Amino acid sequence: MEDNESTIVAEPAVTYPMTSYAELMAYIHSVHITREDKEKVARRLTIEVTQPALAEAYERVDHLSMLRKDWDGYGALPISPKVLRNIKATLMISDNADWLHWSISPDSNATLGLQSTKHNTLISLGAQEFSYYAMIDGKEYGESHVSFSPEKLLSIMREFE
Amino acid sequence: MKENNTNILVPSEEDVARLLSPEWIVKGELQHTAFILNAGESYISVNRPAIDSFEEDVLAFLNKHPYYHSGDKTNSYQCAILNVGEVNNISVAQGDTVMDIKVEVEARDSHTKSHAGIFTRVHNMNIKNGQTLKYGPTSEEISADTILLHVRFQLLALAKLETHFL
Repeated sequence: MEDNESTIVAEPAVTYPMTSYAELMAYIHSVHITREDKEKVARRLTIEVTQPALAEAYERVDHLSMLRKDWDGYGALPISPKVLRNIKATLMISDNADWLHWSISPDSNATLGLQSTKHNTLISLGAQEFSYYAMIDGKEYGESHVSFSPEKLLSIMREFE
Repeated sequence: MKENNTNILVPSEEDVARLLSPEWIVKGELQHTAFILNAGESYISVNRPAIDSFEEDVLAFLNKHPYYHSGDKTNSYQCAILNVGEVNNISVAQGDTVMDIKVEVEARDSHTKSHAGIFTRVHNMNIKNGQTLKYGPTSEEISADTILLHVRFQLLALAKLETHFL
């Protein structure tokens, strides 16, 4: 006797990757997860479909969160969970335009570096604070040990993009 | 404190190479994190192409750390080339005053002959991440991280990203 039940699998309403908001919502409604998780998935997938630069930043952070000890061959530490929380909190309040010119890279001391491809502004993001340095039109800007808040970091990123 | 080593400065006409983890290159652009001092360390490791054992030393490093190979090409690696004279000319200003900071490249040949280190020194003392320094006639406190961030910015500007094939 065939076990029909075992073959019943919730099929997504659409095939991934999706290219429209409607397809995306249909997909989210078709999966069986909690409402809270659906909201998270919805935000992330919406970003993936509609905000490519922001999506890329999320993917980069996902990748960096998986680096293991000694990822640089010189004894580097994995990125601190607090630092990852900080960058994710910043991504949560960001727009796509905020990430068009910024890249994220790992620092061997468990923190993250941000760098603007436009002005070479550097940011070092730690667990409690961040530092930045920029030279624009020959004028230096910078501050060290700024208490972290996602709003503050984002405002610096926008100012010194 | 200045560490006791050979203390032989690399000549200013030489270049040095910082071997690059792929994590330090994003979309083909070198990232400043390639020049961050590891916790507790006082220098950034580089190698000297002018030394005979350079290729042998790089190969030994790559064999130990295969993820340093560039992309999926196992016969290549990327490095940031810095001219020592230009590195020596790095300066850091505090307001309008240029600080007594030297960025020096010193041979560190005890393990591998071509190994060298880029040191940042204030009043001839090596500085490390996390230190608070007293500077100037009023012993004003200044964060070593601030100085190192300025130096990193300039190292990044000076560095030439190169792909080398073995």
